Amino acid sequence: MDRKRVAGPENAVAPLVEYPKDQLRWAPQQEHRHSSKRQPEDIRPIYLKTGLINQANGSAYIELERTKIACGVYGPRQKKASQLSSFSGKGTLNCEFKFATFSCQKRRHHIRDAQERELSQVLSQALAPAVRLELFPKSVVDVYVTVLENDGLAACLAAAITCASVALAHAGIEMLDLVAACSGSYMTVPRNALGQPQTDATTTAAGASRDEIWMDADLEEEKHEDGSIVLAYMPSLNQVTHVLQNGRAEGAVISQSVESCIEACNKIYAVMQHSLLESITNGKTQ
Amino acid sequence: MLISLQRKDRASLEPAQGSFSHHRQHGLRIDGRRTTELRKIRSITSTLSQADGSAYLEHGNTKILAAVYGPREVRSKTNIIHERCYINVEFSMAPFSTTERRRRAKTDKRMLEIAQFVKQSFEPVVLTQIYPRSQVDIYLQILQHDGGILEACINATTLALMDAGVAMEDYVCACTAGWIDKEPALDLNSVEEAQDTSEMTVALLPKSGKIALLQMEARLHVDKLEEVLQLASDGCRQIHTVLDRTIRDRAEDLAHKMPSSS
Amino acid sequence: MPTNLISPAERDYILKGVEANVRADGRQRGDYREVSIETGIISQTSGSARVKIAGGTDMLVSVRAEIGPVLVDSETGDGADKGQIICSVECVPSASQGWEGRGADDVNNELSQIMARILSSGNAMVDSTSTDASSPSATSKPSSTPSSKGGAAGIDLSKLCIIPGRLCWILYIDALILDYGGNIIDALLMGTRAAIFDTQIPKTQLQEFGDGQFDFELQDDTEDMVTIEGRENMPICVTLNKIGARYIVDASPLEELVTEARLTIAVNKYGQVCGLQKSQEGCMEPSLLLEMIQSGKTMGQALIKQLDAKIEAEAATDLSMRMQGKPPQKYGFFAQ
Repeated sequence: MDRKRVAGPENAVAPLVEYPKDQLRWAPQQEHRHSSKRQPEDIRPIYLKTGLINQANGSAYIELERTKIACGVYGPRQKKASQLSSFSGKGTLNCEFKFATFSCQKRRHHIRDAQERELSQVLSQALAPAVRLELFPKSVVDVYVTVLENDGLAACLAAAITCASVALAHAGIEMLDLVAACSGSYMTVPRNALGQPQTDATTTAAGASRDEIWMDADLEEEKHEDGSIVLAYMPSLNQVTHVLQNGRAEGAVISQSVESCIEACNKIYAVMQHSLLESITNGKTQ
Repeated sequence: MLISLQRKDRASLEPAQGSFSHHRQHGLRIDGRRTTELRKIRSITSTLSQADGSAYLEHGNTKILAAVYGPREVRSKTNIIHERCYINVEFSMAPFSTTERRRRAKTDKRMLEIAQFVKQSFEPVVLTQIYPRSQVDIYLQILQHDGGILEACINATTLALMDAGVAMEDYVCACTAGWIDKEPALDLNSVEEAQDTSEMTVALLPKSGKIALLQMEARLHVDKLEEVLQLASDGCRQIHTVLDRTIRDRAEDLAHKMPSSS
Repeated sequence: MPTNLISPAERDYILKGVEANVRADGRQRGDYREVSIETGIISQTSGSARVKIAGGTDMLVSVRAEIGPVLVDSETGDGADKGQIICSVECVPSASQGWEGRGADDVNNELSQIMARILSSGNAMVDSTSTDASSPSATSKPSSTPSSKGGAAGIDLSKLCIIPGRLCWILYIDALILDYGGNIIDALLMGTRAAIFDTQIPKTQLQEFGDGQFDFELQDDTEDMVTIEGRENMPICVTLNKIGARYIVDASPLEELVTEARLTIAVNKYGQVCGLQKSQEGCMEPSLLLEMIQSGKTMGQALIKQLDAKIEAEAATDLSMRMQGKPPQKYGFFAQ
């Protein structure tokens, strides 16, 4: 136990967190997604706002129901001497992805773990194709992403990419396009002719279940998924900047999920444009 | 030249052991060797494509890979020495090298110590003054650990340095000897090492007979020191012939492959 | 890092070569270099393999089975009857100049995570052989952090459990990259597959003492070891490098420097995609992405077939040597 922060008696135990019964028991059923009454192809409503952090050159905040992410962009600023070890004619995009200690069901540590380090790398690979790094040699753009609440890992990564891209634009860094990202989960949904919730899984023969792709799955849905895909896409240029998929799937399912993600990215793109326009009009009135 | 006498505290690098006792039958040791017999040594040079020089050495079941880069430009300006080159040694052990899987931190004191021993034994032998303001990197990787790590490190480094064409005064050949059951024994394996045996590692320059490194842990009666040292030195000379053969084979092989200029 | 620089002339040469379908070493875009694999070369492990690609890439993959406590998800109670797989990749600093000191940390982390993700990809898909695959316990993922938990790349994790709720086999897959000559990830997964095929673990016998007490006994008999169940379902991967408008497989170090975007496609022998990952700072059109996935899948399936044939052939020769009472001949590092 962490004695530095928990000042309880020696034999103290962690409190038992009880989850509401329905939430714990939730299982994928026919056309019944976990949270609101979404269709498989629906994404959660997005709240996206720029200018959250005053000190940063650019910042953005994104919220998809329970997924909440803040992002600050600093720079372009001069590289530190320690970062200048190798010569490069291009600038560097330095991304740091961090889960807040309270963001997940289990407490996260302050120090970036292996997963966060990898997600940082994914973030920078997804954003780099859009940013015109050749315009600022010997400099670095720092992108700090903090997840305040994590409701599904794949969705969280996708939201982080979207949010960071808007923050970069807000910071006035030259880009070729905005990067929108979306996640999709492969679900095996038991089909029941009566349309009743199916509880006895053993009766589910292979023919009675159906593979579906649920866009933007939340944490409860993610627990039941067979695999997931995160796709980052530049809508105006029609270019995929990142794809990360795990779990087993047939080739046809992959193609279908790529198409669904691109479709969803186009929708997200409109929201991103809207929030950026809003930040300009707000700036004028102030 | 370096002499280090230390208390036995080898637990950190030792493979896990059962309680073997090395009682001998017909005067033979636990692996069937005589007391003055070396384990089988096999070695090959130029095993890696990227390094300037490299060597792989099997000393019994101890397996080691050595790579040498340089002499090249010094990486960090603080390491520049104006009249000679800087030698950098990094030593690491594969997580699967011992019988119990363990990942070791880069700052493991025992590993840093071995790197230091290797560095100090080669500094006087490499003609460092002909490479001023430059750096030679030596990377050592243990793939399997069965005792005698330091001797294997030094022997593999010698081969790798020669393969890289770094100028040296002489070979540096290392060997261990210890005192087991009232008798001196050459070239201890990990089972013999694990007991509280006194073990001495000697690195010798065969041509001049100079000692480049003498390292010993656990105590040994002063009267026996001479005998053990003599045994280890003999071992070094035997190892010299093996290493020399490897280098000459490689040179002949290269000469063979060269298109005749005539 | 001097090795990370490439001159414009070299870059241009590679670009035009790829366009003309002739690469610097004479290969075509879809050609692999010669890969050599030897299994069972590290005696103190449960299984091991050494993979060497003709251009220099050289690595050791070891599998070590150890007994440890099961990892139970406190919320869902999953994992009580499952073994674990833990991956780690380490780049030796001598392999490449960029990997000195802390330089290899990022690469190590990236490779370990990719490997863990591919290996954990879905025990979920219904296997033709397994009957209970559609039950909820089999379809649910262990947790939201699939990388650290390690699922089963088709490997039957429940067979690795010794005492449910208490003890299981933990397979530690440690890879050591000794030499860098491009295309590390493909070699890594090939080596892992070969090492898992080589792995044998002792049989265990469960003893019940009544009142819920269990203990087990390890059978020491080396003749009576078991192999890992479901190992033939393990995926391997194909990495495609996009250079210009084309893509190539099995890139050399120089070609990797010219690569704009890289796509790693993990495939199992049934042709199912078990993982996709893009890396490098470039992008591609969706149509090209789908085309790359398709060709990666086809190549991967062909590669698995070849690999399995080789592994089986080696196992057969080893067996025949043992039958004659001779130790199987291993070349190890003395192979030329």
